[in-house]
Amino acid sequence: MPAAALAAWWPGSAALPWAGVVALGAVTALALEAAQGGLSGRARAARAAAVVALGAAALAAVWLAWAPVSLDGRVPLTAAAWWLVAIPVLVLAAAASGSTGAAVSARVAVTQAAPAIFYSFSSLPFVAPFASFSAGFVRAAAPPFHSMATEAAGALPAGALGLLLAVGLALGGPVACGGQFAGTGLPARLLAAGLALATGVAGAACAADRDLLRRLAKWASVQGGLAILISLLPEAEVGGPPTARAVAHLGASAAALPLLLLGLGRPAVLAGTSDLAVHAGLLRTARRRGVLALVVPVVAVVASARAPLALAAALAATAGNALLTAALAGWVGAGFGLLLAGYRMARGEPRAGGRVPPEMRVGEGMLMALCLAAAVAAFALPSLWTGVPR
Amino acid sequence: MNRPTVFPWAFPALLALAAGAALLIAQLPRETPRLLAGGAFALDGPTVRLLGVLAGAVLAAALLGLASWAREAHAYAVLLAALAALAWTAAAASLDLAAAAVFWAAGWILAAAAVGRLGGPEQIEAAVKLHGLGAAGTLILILGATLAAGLAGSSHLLEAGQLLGSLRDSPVLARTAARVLLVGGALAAAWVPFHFWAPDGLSAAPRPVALILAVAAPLAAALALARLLFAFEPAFAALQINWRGALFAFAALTALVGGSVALAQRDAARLTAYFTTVQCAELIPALGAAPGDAHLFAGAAAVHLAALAPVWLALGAWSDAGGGPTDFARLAGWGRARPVPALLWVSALGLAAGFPGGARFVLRPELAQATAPSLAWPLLLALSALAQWAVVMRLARVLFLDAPAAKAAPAAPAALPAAPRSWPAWALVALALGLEVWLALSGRLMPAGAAVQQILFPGG
Repeated sequence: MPAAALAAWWPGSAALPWAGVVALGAVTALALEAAQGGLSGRARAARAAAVVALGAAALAAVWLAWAPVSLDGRVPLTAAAWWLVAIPVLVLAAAASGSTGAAVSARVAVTQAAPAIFYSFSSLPFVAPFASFSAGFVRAAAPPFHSMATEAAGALPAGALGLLLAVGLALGGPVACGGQFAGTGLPARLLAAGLALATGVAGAACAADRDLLRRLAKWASVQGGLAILISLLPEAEVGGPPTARAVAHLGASAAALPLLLLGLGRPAVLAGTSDLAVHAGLLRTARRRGVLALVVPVVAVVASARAPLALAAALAATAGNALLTAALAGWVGAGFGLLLAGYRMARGEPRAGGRVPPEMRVGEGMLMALCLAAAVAAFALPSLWTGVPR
Repeated sequence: MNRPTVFPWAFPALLALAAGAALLIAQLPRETPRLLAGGAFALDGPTVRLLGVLAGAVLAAALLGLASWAREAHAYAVLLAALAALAWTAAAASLDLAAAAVFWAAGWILAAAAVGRLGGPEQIEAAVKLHGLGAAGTLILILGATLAAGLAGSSHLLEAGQLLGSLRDSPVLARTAARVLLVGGALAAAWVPFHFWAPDGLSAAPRPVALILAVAAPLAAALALARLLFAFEPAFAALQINWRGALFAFAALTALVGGSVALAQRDAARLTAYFTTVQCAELIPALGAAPGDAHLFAGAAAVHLAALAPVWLALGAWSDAGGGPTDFARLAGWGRARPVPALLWVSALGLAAGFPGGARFVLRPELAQATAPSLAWPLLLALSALAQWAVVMRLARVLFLDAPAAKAAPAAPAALPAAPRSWPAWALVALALGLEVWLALSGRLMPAGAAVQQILFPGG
């Protein structure tokens, strides 16, 4: 490709961190797929190919979202990339659940196409704010659409779910936080109120879920909801540019997802179940895994701490707002759900009958270190997450 | 499946006829797609485009019949359907309401004959239903025409439209006339709640016939309604008739109810028929944009054919050429046994639903643009797309994911006929899909396609 053509497509440095998050999510998903037992070589290859396809579609969408090409052509191509995500998701869900989960697989593939359909209208000036906001909102599975994510958690294998959640935050979050709805008076306030309430309810319910993957899905949805909520608040309340704060929170949360999947999801894959009632005693059977099961949720909760800080500033500015308090409670509930899950997996006695995950190996440890470094960098360097797609 | 002992001569003859018609239509002057405002018949740009689209549908249907090695009786059924399409086009081109009603009636009779041509209880029942509903539609149109003629003193569309608006003494009757005409058009266009001919008629008809009817009736009705709205718009304004609201109500009901009912079907033919009904809803925004300007109608008509032809061709390739069952109990798991045809089938439905690369994907933003600044239309189009995508996933689930029902068909995929001669029909499906993608991305249908092409192939 000539240099001029490449330059015309170059999305700039703003897209690179998001692309990195998606790529890391894809690598983690492949690592988790490799740990999946009881599969034939052909099934394993098909699932790995679907994960790669999902990652490739998401990377193309990130690339296109920031590419400096005309809006008329970019929007259909980006919508196409968003829509393409639904196909590998269907394949992965079908491969994971078989004919017993056929209905759920089809439902998940339907909901995955919804954001793309909304996004395809966002090149029209009179629809653009509504279309891109709703597309991003649904893509990020922000509450009350968190059921999209929890349903995917029931249908997809753990690695693919982690990738899908990261893709949701990476693609949908920046689009929804684009500031299109900010400062438009009553509608924005009403939207913020509804979102705060829904986020509070979803987050508070997170710790009550017995399934690890559903907890992870709810945690990601709550982070998406909180980011969009922050972007809807006035600058004076948040104590800084709302969009920048929201996007930094999204980036740090999305970067923590591969770490969570590796630290908590991989033992679940190795044990063959995501039911938290079955998991216990990692510290006794696989010490390094057990320690990481305790540490990883703490890192993820800290990585998502930009949202409560912004909400606390807004609460101070508004002299206590019940709905913002509910959203804050949602963050606490979602974080608590992760911490409890990690604690449950690490402590206690191993259950009889459950498969015991083996100790961590060098390769996995290196990938874990990379994910840890990415999560810390994503939180510590908010300047990485600059700007939103046009 | 009945295999011919003698090669059916009627299909090549029909094919030659359709190809000749298509060539002839291509020679007709391509006027600006604006509706003509004069004369008894309007052989204007939109009519010529409609004729071109219908010639394309007949061509595809004849090719399907040929590729399916169908009996000669099929060819006569296709010929009847083609004549019905011609009659409906004459109705859509007629500016005289009474003459239009006569042409509509002729079209319904021919369509019913085409559906029932091959016999069989299901076909005969569908033909009777089609005939009855067609007669009801014609009566509604005649009632509307009579009211309009009685009030305005003329059954000519443009004159009646002008005069109705000036009537101050009998607005109720004038409003009734307009509403009755709208309902008559909705029945022909298969818009919910007047869609009843479509599910039975289309699912029971031979697939080539269904292809023609699925394209011809809604498009002809849409053009006829476009003329009605063009002629009556001043009268509607004077009589305070919210025709845009009525069109939106039809579109919403058709997309949402039709889509929901399609999801509940347990037969691929009926699912396709309801899917077609939902597609018909997306013709409506093209009418509501600017009366008189038929640019969008011309694009929507081409997209309607480009999207639906592969869908009906695929169903024909499976059921007519391949002799396969269409009920889901026996269809379950068939995609795993024959992945290539199953993928073609799902792709045809997916592209028609608006999957990227399909013609409808580039049309929808244009339709939304035409309805600016309303947010309701884009939202409805999005919901319609979602409903159609759900239908696609339903078929994909049946073909690839569902296990064969143990009692209904112990080993459905293995028990399927070998269908050694269905490959020409599947090749036709692949060709139609390729044509649709090429049309969508070449920018020949809509500017959005051109914009995408410019990005993908800069300078190309």
